[in-house]
Amino acid sequence: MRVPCPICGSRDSREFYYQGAAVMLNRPDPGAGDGAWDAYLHLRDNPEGETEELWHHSMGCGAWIKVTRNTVTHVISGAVLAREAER
Amino acid sequence: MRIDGLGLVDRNRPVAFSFDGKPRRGYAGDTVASALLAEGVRLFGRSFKYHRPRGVLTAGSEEPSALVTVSRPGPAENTKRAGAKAAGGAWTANTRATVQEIHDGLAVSSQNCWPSPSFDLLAVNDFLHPFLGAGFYYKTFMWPGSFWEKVYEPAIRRAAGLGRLPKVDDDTPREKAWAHCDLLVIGAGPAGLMAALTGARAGARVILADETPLPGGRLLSESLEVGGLPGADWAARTSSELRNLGVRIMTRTTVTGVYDGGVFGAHERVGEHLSDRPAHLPDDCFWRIVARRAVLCAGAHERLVAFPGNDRPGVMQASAVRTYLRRYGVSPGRRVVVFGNNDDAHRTARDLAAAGVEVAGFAESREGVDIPGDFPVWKGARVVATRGRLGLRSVTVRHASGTEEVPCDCLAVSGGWNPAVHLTCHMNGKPVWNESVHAFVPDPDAVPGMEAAGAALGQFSTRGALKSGAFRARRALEAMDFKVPSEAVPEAEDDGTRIAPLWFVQAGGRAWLDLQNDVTVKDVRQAAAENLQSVEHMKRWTTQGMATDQGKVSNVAALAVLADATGRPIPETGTTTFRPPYTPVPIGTLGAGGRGEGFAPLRLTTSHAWSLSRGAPMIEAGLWLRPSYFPAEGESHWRESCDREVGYVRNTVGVADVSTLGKIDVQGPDAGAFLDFVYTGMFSTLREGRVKYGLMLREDGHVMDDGTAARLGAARYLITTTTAAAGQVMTHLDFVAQCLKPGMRVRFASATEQWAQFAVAGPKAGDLIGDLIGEPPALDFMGWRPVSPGGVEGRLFRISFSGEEGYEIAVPARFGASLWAALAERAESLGGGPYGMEALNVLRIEKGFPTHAELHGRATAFDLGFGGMMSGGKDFVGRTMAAREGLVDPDRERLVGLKPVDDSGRITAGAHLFGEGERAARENDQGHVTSACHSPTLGCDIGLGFLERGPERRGERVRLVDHLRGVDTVCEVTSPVFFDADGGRMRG
Amino acid sequence: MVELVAESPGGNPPPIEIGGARADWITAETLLWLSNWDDAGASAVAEAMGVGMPGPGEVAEAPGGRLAWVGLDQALWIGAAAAAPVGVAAMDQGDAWSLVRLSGPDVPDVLARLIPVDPAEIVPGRVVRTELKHMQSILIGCPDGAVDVAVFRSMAGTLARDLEEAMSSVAARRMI
Repeated sequence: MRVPCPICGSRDSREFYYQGAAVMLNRPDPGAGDGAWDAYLHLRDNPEGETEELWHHSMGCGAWIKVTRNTVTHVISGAVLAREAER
Repeated sequence: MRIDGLGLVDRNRPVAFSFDGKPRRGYAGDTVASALLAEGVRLFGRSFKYHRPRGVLTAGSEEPSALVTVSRPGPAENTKRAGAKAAGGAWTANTRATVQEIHDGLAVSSQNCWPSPSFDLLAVNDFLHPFLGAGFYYKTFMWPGSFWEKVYEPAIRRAAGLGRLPKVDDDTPREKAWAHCDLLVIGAGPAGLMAALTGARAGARVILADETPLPGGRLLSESLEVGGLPGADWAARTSSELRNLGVRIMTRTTVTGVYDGGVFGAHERVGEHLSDRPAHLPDDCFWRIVARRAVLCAGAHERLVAFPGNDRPGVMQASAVRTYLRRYGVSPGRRVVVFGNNDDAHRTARDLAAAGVEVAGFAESREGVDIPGDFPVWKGARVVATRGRLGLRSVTVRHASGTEEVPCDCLAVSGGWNPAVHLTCHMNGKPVWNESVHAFVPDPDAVPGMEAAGAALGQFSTRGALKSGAFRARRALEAMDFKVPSEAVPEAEDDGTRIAPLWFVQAGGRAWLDLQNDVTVKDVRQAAAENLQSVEHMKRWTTQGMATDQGKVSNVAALAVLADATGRPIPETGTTTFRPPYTPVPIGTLGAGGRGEGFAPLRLTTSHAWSLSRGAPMIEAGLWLRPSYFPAEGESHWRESCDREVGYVRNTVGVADVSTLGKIDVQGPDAGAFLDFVYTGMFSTLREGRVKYGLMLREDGHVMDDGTAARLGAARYLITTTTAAAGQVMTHLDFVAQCLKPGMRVRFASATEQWAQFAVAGPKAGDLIGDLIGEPPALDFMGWRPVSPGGVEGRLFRISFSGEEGYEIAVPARFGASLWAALAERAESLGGGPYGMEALNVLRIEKGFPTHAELHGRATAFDLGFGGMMSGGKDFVGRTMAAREGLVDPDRERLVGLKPVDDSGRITAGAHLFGEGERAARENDQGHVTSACHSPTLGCDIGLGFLERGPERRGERVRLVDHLRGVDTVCEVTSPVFFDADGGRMRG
Repeated sequence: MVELVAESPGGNPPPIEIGGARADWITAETLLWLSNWDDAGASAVAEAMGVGMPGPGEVAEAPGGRLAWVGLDQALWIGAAAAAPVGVAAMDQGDAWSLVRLSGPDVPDVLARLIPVDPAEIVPGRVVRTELKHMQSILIGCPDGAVDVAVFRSMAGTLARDLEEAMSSVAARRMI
């Protein structure tokens, strides 16, 4: 499997650490309430189709990236630096 | 028998090998199958289930039947260990005789037969076949239930299985590697050669992989011309042109799998065919090929027709007969009958006759087809039976004018061709039925970036393959923006596919489909009758296609039988799923390079050599090696060494290498604010020159790691992590900086490798440091300052993991070995010395300092008694969730110390805690022990653990039980700090 | 006082030469890690080092050394002693890396056994960060097909072992 790092280009997936849903970018305020925090930490969609997720290029440039991947075809249609991703 | 004047083997290079211990001869270029067929051997082994005699069916990697065990020449010691079955070194079972090339000294033996392939005791299974049909093991061994483990399974395991494992360590040299290209061409037949040529002439980086030793594919087996040259000559000329153009031709390389994003797995046989192998030469190599585009030119497999007795040695693919004849110069029989349903089979009769081999007759299933040749032709014919116990003696042909038995020793069969669609299915693609060629062809969209060409696409004529290879390559190249010069495709045979479907023959007797798993037409019909009508159910009920060949020559015929039995058309019946690998790959090859020290990197500290010179046993801490203890003369047990080393620290001075702890240099105007956000405590207010203990939480409120942070400057901190969590913390900090706080002006990098850092601890630590740096240490507890031992810029920290007056001194790693030797020498001269991990552990347990035994991922700051360190006035990672009711419940299991009531009582890590006098059972469990040691300071065992309402129960007694080690001790619950509770010694 | 003696990373291992590849342990006077968070920092780097912060995968040649990109916003100065620019994160890493120069015609084949990245990308002026066997590594293209390889100092022994294994395998293939 190949992952397109916005910094390094197409690289083998072994260079990356996989985190999970890109929901983790949207950290609630401390006082957002139990529901918001529960959703942030524990509730995940399981889409058939496109999903957004976070990968860390741990063996490469060290960038956290937001990857758009199709869970059916495995096609990765895009990747952006997490620090520049829309939240 | 050999046919003079034919074949690409080197008749000037005879090769001596053995089969079942008997010396055999062949020529360089022969496979085991071709050499043995030349010697008249037809019986290669026995089948998996019924132990039916088995011979050679094919001439390629699709072979289901002729599986043998081969052993490579090796040291005599291996032979002894491996046992008597195969001579030589450790052996490889289930090797296809049609793929393995012979070399001098190669020892080949037959499988699944005892005592010999011609007299095999388990052949009795064949007489039991009425009881062993489809799904028999689901039905037969059901009762009584207790018999399964003790009786049925062991018996079945002994009887079943293909070949035998050597049961010795596999020390075969193997390899893994990567390759990269623009265009990967899979298969070097006419389509593949043309595709590669198109790519090379366009200037692309091309890899051409073929599983045989010689490019050419079927051109090497047929009496066909390409561009006016004999096919084999055209193939040789084209390959040499490809090499000149810089194409990387990987022979003996099977592309075994297609993976996401243009990654292909390939298995190369590197040294398996050689008798003299240089040291370090891998037997084989597993390649990961990264290709921007690929063209699949994998060709096609000729299928059998299922008729009674079609598994007898001597029954063979018609195309394989031609391959043996033309590629190897071997006729598999002296008197051959051909049976086919398509024009392609006619070539076999023609080529045999031209080579002077007797063609005993041609059974053509169709009516009204002309077959020129000087042999009997039966039209509308079917082979309905065969004879010959260990090899074919005759076939019975039924035709319009009657039935006759025809003596022969070889029957060449063609049921048509199946495109090798396998690789197009590896990413969930489903092949589609093509009525005009009566075969499944690839779904064009099955694999992004890969297209099939040639016979793999159902283009069965030579000219069709050449054109298709050029066309598909051009499309791939243009998609990559290469300028593709126009290419003339050479002239060649362009016959259409003429075939009338014939899958099975209606006649009495067992007609075989899967020759490796012994599946018959009747089995498939029975599956359908038992309502296992889905193709996937039929496959599992009958095991059709589930053997190592994945049913390459039999699956489609089995589908046709199922379609017939269920009254559905073939396309509606569908295919089963082909999965990687296309051909078997040894597990050892997939794991190549991972044995011994190849498994993981070894990280060595600068004091490593010194520790070894003192005889210290080294233990793993993450990837690091650290000294356990330093044995002194006269000590016979590690505990003696450990107790002595603990004494150094408590009474004089001990030194230890702590370089393995993670160190991260954090810089930038927002460094303080960043640390405030990742630690529970406040660090932005920490004064320069000071150090502070820090606790890092996960966002879910549990503890991730702990360590210290030293403020090096206005905008610079040095933080430490535990040895084991250094990588995790670095990833976490990257996450926080990039994902949660992207606006912060903070940057950091690991400083672990830059510094060698040593702990100096004990009442005389200050003296030692003073002597080392030439001035008093002059540091308060939790302070740091720059020092320059020997003129080298270093750092001195006043911190303690032992509870004594403690320092850690750091210098650039190049001076580590030298400083360590100086520290150890000075410590010894003061009556102390170095201490290892065992003593370090005892010292910290005595002080109740947690490590990852306690920070086990389920502990909260509250559990550890660190609730007070949760700074109230700021947000930090984990703060909100750590405040959840359940995480601050006083009833939680919380950190305590444990001390036996009787000083001789034992405490072991992993033991569980129960109320005193209660039964040691799960429902009474109140906690467990995470760390334990013998404390020489207290003179008894002590432990740290988590106990329900722990801190409220100090002074209570609990029962500690370790079922595994047989420990049952009454303990007193204490503070986790066993020694110097007010920390006076540490603060000095 | 104490007298301290410097030792090179990995303890001065001898060069490895097998077949058409050779590995020599090399030292640089200075390895200075730099990372900026704003344009002012980038300018400070350009002023101090003579070349600006390199883009991803780039190595800039400067008087006295090379400034190689080594990660997101990060560069490594390899060369003569240099003062750290102000307004950026800077850290001496001269003791943190074990540096090996790989040379010879077999370098691409040796690297093909160790890294998942195409060795053809590692040409003069280019740097790649990737996994070498199991280690984080920096690979810098050098003239004449040579490649400078850096892994953490503590793993110098593993690097030597991994290189030797790959070089032996490639050399053996040349013999058949």
